[in-house]
Amino acid sequence: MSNFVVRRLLSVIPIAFIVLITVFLLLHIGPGDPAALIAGENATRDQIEAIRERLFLDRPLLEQLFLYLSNVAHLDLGQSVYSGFPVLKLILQRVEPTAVLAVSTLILSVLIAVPMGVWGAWRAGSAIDTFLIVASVVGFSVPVFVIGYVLVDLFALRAGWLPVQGYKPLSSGFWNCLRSITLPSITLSFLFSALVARITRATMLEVLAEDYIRTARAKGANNRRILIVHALKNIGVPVVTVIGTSFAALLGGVVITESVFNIPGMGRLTVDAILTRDYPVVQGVLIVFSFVLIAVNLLVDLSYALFDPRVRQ
Amino acid sequence: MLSKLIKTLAAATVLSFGVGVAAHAESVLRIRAVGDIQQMDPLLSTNYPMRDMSYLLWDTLFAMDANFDVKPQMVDTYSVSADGKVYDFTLRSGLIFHDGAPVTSADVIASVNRWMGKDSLGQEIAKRLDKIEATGATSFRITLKEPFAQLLNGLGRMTAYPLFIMPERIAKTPIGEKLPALIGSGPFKLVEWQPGVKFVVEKFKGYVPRSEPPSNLAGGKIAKVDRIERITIPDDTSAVNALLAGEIDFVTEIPYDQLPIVEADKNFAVAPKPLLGRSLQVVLNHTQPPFNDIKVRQAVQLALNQQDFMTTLLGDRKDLYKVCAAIFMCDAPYETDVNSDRYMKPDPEKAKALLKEAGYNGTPITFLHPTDQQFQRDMGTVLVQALRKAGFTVDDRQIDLATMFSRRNNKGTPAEGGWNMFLTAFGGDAMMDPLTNPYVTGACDKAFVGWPCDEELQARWKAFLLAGDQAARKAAAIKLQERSNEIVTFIPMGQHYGVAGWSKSVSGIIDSPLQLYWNIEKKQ
Repeated sequence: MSNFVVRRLLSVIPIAFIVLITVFLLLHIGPGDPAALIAGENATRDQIEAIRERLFLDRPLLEQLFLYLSNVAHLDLGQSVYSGFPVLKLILQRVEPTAVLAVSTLILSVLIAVPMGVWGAWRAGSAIDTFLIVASVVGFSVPVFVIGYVLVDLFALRAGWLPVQGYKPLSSGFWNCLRSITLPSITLSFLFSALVARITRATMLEVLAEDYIRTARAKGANNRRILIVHALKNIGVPVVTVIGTSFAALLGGVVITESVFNIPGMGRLTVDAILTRDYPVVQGVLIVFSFVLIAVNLLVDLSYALFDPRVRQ
Repeated sequence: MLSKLIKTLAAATVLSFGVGVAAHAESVLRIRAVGDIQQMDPLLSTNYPMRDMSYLLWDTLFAMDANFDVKPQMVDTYSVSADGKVYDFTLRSGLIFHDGAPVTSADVIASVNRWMGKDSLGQEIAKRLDKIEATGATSFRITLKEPFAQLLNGLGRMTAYPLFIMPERIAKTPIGEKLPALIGSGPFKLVEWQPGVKFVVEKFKGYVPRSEPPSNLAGGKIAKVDRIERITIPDDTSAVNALLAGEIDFVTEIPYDQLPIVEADKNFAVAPKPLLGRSLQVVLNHTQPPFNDIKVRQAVQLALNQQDFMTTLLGDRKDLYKVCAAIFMCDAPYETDVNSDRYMKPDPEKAKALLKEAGYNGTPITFLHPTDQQFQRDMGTVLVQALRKAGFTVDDRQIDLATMFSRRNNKGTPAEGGWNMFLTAFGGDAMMDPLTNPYVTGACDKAFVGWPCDEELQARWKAFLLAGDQAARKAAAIKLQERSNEIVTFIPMGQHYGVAGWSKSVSGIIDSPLQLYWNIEKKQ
């Protein structure tokens, strides 16, 4: 078991290194000149050149890369080329809303999707199963922003129960935070629930057709025991895998949801930084997102050991 | 057990609402304006959101009133010597910075020096400056080498770049370096700034406003709310929803397709703002074929129709746009229709004939076409069709705005990453004045992108600069437009207005080419 954990942890190092270099190169070969953007409308060529020099954008690419890696190693992600604020500070300011949104969506989705998928498989072919299949297709197909606007119209503008936009931090009180995050979480969970429910249903159908389930039935086990003791544990690996791998899709959805509900999170920080070519900020958020995904995948890998004893050996 | 839990939840909910109500006890104006404040140095960029907030934090020596005349703002009295070379100024008494320090002539001199290093009119003043010196704690003198009637206009410049007075230690920061603190002597002081999220100011109790009523940027700047929160809401629809739900009080630039929703609600008012609106322009690169040929440039004037562009943008909302002949804006002091026939009476057939006369051989026009901005995306499509109809070959490069900003600085051929044409917009505040209108200098390499190079235009721009009074400036501006349109420094494509919407609990909004937030009152 410990060998497995150590092996997986070590494999993260080269991945992290590749991520860092890729992030750097992606931005430097992309179009757009941050110096021209910073200089503004009436800037002269000299002013643009001066800014380029100040940001070391006039240095050879390799030199810029080494400078960047050295700084990252010292947890120095640089400063925003516009506001001058440290990138780490900007990121830390935005982590909470995104983390709260992602975690609440994850919890909501799993609570909805796993029972939905299991129920659908258990009642395969019934009207309920058909309804669940259609619901999951709709949830997966309708764009996040459409769902968001519809929910805002119904529950914020017409009913007035929840706010239209904005985020209240946890420090303002749990209920304030919950009110501000309810509609965004529900919006985002449509996509995620649909994905997890479909995989759960398909996996459960396979498991329910296995010999050991038939043997359990033959031994007289009741439905509840078959479902909880024999079937549910065996759908763990594929379901956890899909939750982990679709976490990237969840982060993509976060970007749109944060815009629709004006949540000042990492998604918006990323989009703003890309549109303004704020290189240090873009690099910083990409690194954080990449490392979060690496961590999630690592956790998924490690969780296999819980569900499947063969992995531990 | 369950009922206890419900009671606890209900109590907590009531408590959380109670906290919300308590927070609303002070008067807070919540605004959403388009764009974000990514940096806060008013001499580093011409970013409008930053400039509008800067006017809350920092004060100016002079300011433009509603008639676009310059009036004293921080200055109490001033005098000019008979030869027009020596100006003596005295500041109003009681002016203090947000940190409690009094505003002194040393602060003014440092701020003027920093400003002259950046602003184009400031640089013209610097060329003629003999010395600037303190004559007392709150008085100073500017001595010029020669009379220069634009001095006060410079000191009261409305935009790009206004002369804001900062504490001396901050004003000594070289341009390009981050300001060490955002301290001014304006009617509001900074409380919180989170780029991309919000910019919050609160009433500065030490501010002493002028006694005159507010008039554009001049007159009394009275903070009538305790706090202003400028909230960045990137999505237009969400901003309108937030207004309708009462979460914000004032929204600029309501999307035109959502105007009927706000207009239909009696709780809200809407009006075109800011004053003068915005002008759209087609910019041509004079350094690259085929637009290095004046006849081909004039053919573009004949090919494009302002009305088509305005209809594309605004449909039948004729109250929100003007087909305008003036390159210095309609309804502005230098409005004229001189030499505007080619673009006011477009004729694709004449454009074709002119192209033939010029020997245009079908060289493709590389058009930078941002598709992430609605007005540029839609109008770009109209533009491409109109040019093709007139016989141009167009290479329609669909890109994002940031790439356009970057690429338009490239002076190379299109094959080397250069360009021939793009479409952009400037606010009326900049376009109305030949000294802030970026297109009319004709200064070759030092000109705005497109780099028109014309000695005659340069001479006419200088004549405007040196004109002694308003009548002479108007005459010079007419000559400027005549020449600018002749050599086609740009093609005006119409003047249109954004529409602001606000809750009827809000009153006192000042009419201005900028977005001003003092004098606004909010009923509780």
